Amino acid sequence: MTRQLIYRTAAAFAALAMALSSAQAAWPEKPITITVGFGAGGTTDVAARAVGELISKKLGQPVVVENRPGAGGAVAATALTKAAPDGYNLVAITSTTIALDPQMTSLGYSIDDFTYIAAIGDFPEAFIALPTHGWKTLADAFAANKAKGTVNYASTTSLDRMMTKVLGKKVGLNLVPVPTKGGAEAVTQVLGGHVDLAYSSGAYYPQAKAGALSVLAVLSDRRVAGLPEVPTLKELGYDVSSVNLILYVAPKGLPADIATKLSAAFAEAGADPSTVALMEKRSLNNIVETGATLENTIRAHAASYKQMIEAAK
Amino acid sequence: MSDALLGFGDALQPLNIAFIVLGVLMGYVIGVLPGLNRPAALAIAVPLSYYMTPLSAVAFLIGIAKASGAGGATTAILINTPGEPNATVTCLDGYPMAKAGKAVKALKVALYGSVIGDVVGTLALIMIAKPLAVFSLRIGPIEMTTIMMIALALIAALAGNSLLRGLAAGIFGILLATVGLDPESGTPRLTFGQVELLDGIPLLAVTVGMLALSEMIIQAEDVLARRGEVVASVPTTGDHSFSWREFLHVLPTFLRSSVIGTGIGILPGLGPTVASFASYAAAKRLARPGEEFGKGEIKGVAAAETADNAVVPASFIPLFALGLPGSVSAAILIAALMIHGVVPGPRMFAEHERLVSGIYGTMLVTAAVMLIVGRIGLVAFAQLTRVPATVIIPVVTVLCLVGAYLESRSFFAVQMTIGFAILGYLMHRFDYSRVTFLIGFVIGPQFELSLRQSIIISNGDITVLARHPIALAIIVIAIVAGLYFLRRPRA
Repeated sequence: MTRQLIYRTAAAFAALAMALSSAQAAWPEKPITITVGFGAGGTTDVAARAVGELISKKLGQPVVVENRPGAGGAVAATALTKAAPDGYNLVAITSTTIALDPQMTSLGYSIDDFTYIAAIGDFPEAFIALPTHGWKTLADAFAANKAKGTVNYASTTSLDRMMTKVLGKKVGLNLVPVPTKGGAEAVTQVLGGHVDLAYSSGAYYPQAKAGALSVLAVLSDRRVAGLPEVPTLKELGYDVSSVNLILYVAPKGLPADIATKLSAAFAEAGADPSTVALMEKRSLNNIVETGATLENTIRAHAASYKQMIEAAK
Repeated sequence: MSDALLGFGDALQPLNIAFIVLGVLMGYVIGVLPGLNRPAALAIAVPLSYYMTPLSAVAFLIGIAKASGAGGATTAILINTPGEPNATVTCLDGYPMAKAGKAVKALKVALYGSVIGDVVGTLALIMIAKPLAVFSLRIGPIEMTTIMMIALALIAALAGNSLLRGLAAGIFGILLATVGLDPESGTPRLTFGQVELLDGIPLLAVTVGMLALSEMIIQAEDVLARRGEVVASVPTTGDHSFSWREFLHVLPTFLRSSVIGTGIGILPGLGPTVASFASYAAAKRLARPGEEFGKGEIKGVAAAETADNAVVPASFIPLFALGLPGSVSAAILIAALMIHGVVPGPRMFAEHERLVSGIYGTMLVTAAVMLIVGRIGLVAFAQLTRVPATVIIPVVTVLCLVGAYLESRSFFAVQMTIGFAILGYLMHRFDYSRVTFLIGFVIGPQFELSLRQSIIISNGDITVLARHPIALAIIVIAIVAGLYFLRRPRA
């Protein structure tokens, strides 16, 4: 009786193991869902939908793109940590959602809770001002306000608040953040002359191209392709930078072979001419990183944010 | 010039009109159904629009945005349940009209008001977008703070039977709106460790729960009290005509409300719900003897429905003139244009003149389509009054819960909606105004943000007001309006 039970259990396990391995071999055998951590129509959403379509062609399965906005992507990221690591559940967020936000607010996830698939595109974050001030770079703006001792700026994220605290210490100025609801309002405040400067992650671009705004510095490690004359913070001699990527992650524990296939498909989608054209239109830097390289990048970001948080204290 | 004409020609292409009709139909249905809201409809429609031409995509989205506002009045009038949050004040006079046998008349006023408001807002966009947008830039944090003060004064105007309980409900609304991340420091407030609450209590859960779902509890209680005896709550016969004389009587309200709606639409952060509250409050305070607002006054329906529909086209003004979205609908329109390589902003008119005039033409055609679809739909919707409450209550309840889920795809929002339905029911039983609660909840966060921005910018120095003449003028209006609302007891 007992022996029979053991045999049966063994047989069942064997069957299960075979079923599992064949399931892995057959991946993907059903539609893949990419949950965007931001609303429909935003930059991350548009990019994820374009990339999703290319991935779908490459893998031969439909890619369903859903939106689950909230708390700067944290709602979607939290939900993903409870999803199965089977290669059918992915989330599109920004790299700061993982590298920075858990360090600022108590959230239900950390940097270790994800498998890093790919990053495609880098936001053109920048400091902007009205051209009537006559400031060419951020250094001019700081110099002009040196006597006053303070500069106020329209702020949109905890990232920019932390960064300006560090910057302010370096240059001996009090950079006062004026909170706003988001990119569009920050640009409006500058255009209306209500604040001295603004931090903007991309909403400024059409106005800057039209000459209604001056771009004083970009926050990334490299210059923005569409604004080649604007220096980076590092080039201006302030040793800080912020790179915010559109990031695709899966839950922790995704089998390596599925992760490899996914990363390869994303890499191909990122290099596709239609993606390159979309990045250019949205004024994103066309960066593509995948797998272990990407995970190292995100961990390096997290470490530098940690330093910045310490320096800002 | 020829490009502009070609653009208007594009708007009249059969395919474009087909997409407008499709959008208007979808918007109307979403608007009529309580629980399903414009943001949810647009969120579903945007991915579809990625596969259309730029003008078709815009036609489809504009149809949805405009018609959902107009459709929201239907259930507000017929079953006292707003189909959209901005139809909340439409209930105040629309439902009493329906109970008096004037349901179709109320629906007609709502429809004509919606179309008039929409056309005025659209004409403002086409003709004076640039100067209006430049003016709107002068409205900084300090001016916004003072505008919010006027908006809060509306609580006094719409307080219901008891001013004190009305104010208490309004303050409770402001208090609940403080849940979420502190705008300045980013510290979570009253979130109890819930990630879902970091962005605050979702507006949809509040509006759907408090207005639609709680109304179903109230009506279910009524049915039970009558021991299941099925009675149509609204008479099906009565005065259904809307005469030319009545139109002329209501015309000043239509026009004033259109201007209020357009003005509010240009400013970011206010939106259609505030516009309908403001316009209704203005109409109520300018009432002539014999006009009883809250008891089935035709001007009340006209004021609410005209203003909220003027907001949608007016909120596109900052978008077209400056490339900055003034509303959720406008932000979604940006996405639809960007995906097709058109960057909205100051150079859009020069670079894509034909497309821009095509969009303008499309907006005018949409108004005409809305009028036709709404007029035909009215006949069908009026039959709703024949549906017994025992059918309406379960159907609307399910719609509310589905709508809450669709918005965020989480069960959390459903739980919140049910919680607010219970709260709304209790407030109704104890005669605390749900309308003033909603005003507080909608305006609270913007008031807080603008006030804190002003304090930072001015370094806490109140004398900066002297350099802000617009703000000073608004403060005077707010004080006068507040005193006026408080002084005159309710009719």
